[in-house]
Amino acid sequence: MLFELAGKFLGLTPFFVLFPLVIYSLRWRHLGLTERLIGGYLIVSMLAGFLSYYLWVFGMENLWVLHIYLALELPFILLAFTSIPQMRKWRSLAIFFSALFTIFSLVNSMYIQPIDTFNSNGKIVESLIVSSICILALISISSGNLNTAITKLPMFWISSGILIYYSSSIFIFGLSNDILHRVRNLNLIIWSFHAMMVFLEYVLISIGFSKARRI
Amino acid sequence: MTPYILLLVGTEAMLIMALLAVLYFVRRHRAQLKNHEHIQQLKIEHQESMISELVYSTEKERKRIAQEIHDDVGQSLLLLRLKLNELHSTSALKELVDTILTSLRNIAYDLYPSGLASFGLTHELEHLFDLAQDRGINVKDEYHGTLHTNSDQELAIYRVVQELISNTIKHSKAESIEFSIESVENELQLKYADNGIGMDVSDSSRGMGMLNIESRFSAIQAESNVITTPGQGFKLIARLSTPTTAQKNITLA
Repeated sequence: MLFELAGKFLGLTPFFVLFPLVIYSLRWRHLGLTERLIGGYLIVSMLAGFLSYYLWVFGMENLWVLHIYLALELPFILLAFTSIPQMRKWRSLAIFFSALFTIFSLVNSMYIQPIDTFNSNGKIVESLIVSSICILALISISSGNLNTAITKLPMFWISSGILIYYSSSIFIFGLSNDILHRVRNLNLIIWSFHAMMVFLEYVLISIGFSKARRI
Repeated sequence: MTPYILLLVGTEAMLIMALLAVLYFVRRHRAQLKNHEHIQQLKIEHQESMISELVYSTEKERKRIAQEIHDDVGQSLLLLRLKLNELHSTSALKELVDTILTSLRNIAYDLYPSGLASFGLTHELEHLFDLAQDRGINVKDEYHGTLHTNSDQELAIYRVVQELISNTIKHSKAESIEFSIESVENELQLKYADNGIGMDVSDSSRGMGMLNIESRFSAIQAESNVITTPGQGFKLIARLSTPTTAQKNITLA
């Protein structure tokens, strides 16, 4: 029963992204550049998720989608975070890391983890970089806004959501190729937990979008 | 089993650490906000005390100059007037001395309204409104309750009303002024309105007068609110706490 529910929950994961995207489109006029770029990241996620889901439904190989998505995801996130006024000084470093990461992803896909395997190496590196940039963003946001409560700032919620998702997923990505496929039920539980983290991330991003007030 | 335990414990630990990090930033920011507000409050208090000190020293100096004019120059002129009488001088010369004496009295009174201590705030305000009426403006002034103001408050209110009347006469093209001052227990409420052309608060030419009014109110810790837009008249409402009779006696002592 529990595993059946977990399976159904997992099937819904690609559609979770629609929730923040609806808020995103409703709040578009009030969003600043950073929030709009985060929306771009969500759109890329949605396209990758739907394509992956479509291929899975028709029994086709879909892991190659993740390889391509990974190379796009990090530059989008870094670009969005370095558009926060207090984070602009990190932009050159972000461009450098994005380029380096794209090269790393290509090398990883071609020589280390072929496109028919889960690209755990890339996901671990990406999670570490994204978690670090989220921490940096939270430090910058909390130091640079002394007139408003932090909970009223959209990027606080967005950074928190992304931080919670990526940091809690590091071990799942890291060990997924080695152990998860060995025990089906454990696999199901762990990926359900991952889906819950995705859901939490999107809820927090949606709260962030709803907090946006254009001056 | 070790890799599974590592996976579960690692994932849980990372999730808890992320949540703690978020919580830490919320608490850190709250502490920073509180500290920032405290610093801002101290700055405001310092600014208010500076304004208060400036207003006090200005008034002290004005009072000294007014007294000098009245006691020294005024007395000398009076003496000169008597001498002219004794010498049976021409009436033109006597008239000139009289004009100078009147001008000097007016200047001295503008510098410091000595009547405040002798006749009280209500009397002096009525005098100001009489001057406005002389300029063709209809005035409706009302005074309710017994005013328990101290001398600093009386002087500040007098100066504010003087500034407001001056603004109305010089800039507003108003036909009438409505004024009321009401004292209830330890609070005093002041309302001033004219039916003139109103003002743009950002207009720098009238900004100095408004700044002067704000400084006066700030020096006596009064709250004031200006409601005006171009073409819609001008209205000011102010509230201030007045001392109890016992406190007033201490202030005067």
